[in-house]
Amino acid sequence: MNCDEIRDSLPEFVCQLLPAEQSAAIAAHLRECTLCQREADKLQPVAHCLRAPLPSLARVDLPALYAEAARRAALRLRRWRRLAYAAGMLAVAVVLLAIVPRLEVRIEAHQAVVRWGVPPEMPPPIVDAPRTAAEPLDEQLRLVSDLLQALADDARGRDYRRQIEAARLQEQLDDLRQQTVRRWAAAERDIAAMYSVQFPAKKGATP
Amino acid sequence: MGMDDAELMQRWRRGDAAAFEALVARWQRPLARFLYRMSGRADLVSDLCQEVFLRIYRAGPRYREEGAFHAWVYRIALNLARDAVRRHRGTPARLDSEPADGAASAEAECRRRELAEALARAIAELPEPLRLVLVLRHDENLSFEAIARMTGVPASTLKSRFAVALQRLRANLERQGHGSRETMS
Repeated sequence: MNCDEIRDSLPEFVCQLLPAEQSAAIAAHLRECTLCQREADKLQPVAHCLRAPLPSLARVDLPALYAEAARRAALRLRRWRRLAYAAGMLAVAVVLLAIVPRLEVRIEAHQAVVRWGVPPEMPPPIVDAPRTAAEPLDEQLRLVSDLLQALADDARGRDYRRQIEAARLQEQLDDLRQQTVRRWAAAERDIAAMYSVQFPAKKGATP
Repeated sequence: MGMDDAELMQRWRRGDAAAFEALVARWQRPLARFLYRMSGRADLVSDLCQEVFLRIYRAGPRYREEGAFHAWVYRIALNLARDAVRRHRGTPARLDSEPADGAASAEAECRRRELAEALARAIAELPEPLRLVLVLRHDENLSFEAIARMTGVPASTLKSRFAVALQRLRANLERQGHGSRETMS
């Protein structure tokens, strides 16, 4: 082994990490090579320091470990349950959001209607086209004339019906007047007869 | 000879709790060491180590063996260490009160702590790619090829990074007054 190979392995040699054969070969080289020996001497204190005993460190507490494992397993299970519950609620909310806007529930006089889906499209309302100023003026004048003619005819009809009614009422009044006269005459005759019966003696006397 | 990690994981997936406990017994020290080195915080290691095994436990049924159990485990630990460093940036570390494994005397313990703190600071100052290769190669004794499979970085690059990491670590320790062999022994 040459010096380069030796120096390459010196860190492991001083830390006593090499197999016995390789260590013996390096030790033999170091006895003859002062430069390599000097390099090894530089590292020896560190290696010695690393070999110092460590403080007493941990002892695993198995009962505590089992208890903690059980606690964490229960915690994990609880978290999964919560997650599953939240996911379920979310799914229900999504389904409701998908269904409710399309659901129609209606109670009428003799029936209850439950329908799901898009309502049928209603035909658009028919809107009269607005009349435009471009329509001919004659048409408008004719329309006004017709309206006035219809109003005049209606007024004449009403006058005629009122005249008929007035004539009929006049006839009834005349009948009543004649009946009154007749009854008055009959009453006078009755009174005269009763008077003549009551007072027969005096000739030419009148009641 | 005991079962390897893949067999233990398979048994654990089939519901054998003892297999999981064997994995914990096998991996808790390496993982704690790795987490300590990567986070630089001894006070966080216990919680981080517990969390790593908790994740392994919970991921057990989903684990698919692809011949890299250690890579999977170290990846979990690395992610946790990164998060911990990010979360506790600016928070002072609690001093550890535990003695080192096999500590002899109070003086030695004091020296050990001082050196451990200096080393932890020096390692923490390394960029993460250098720190990772240093820890995985030195502490966890993984080959550069294994680290390359785990990280996707070529083995030759990792080897260079390891050498650079040692040199930078030396410089960092020297800056803290721990550069010579005497100060470390």
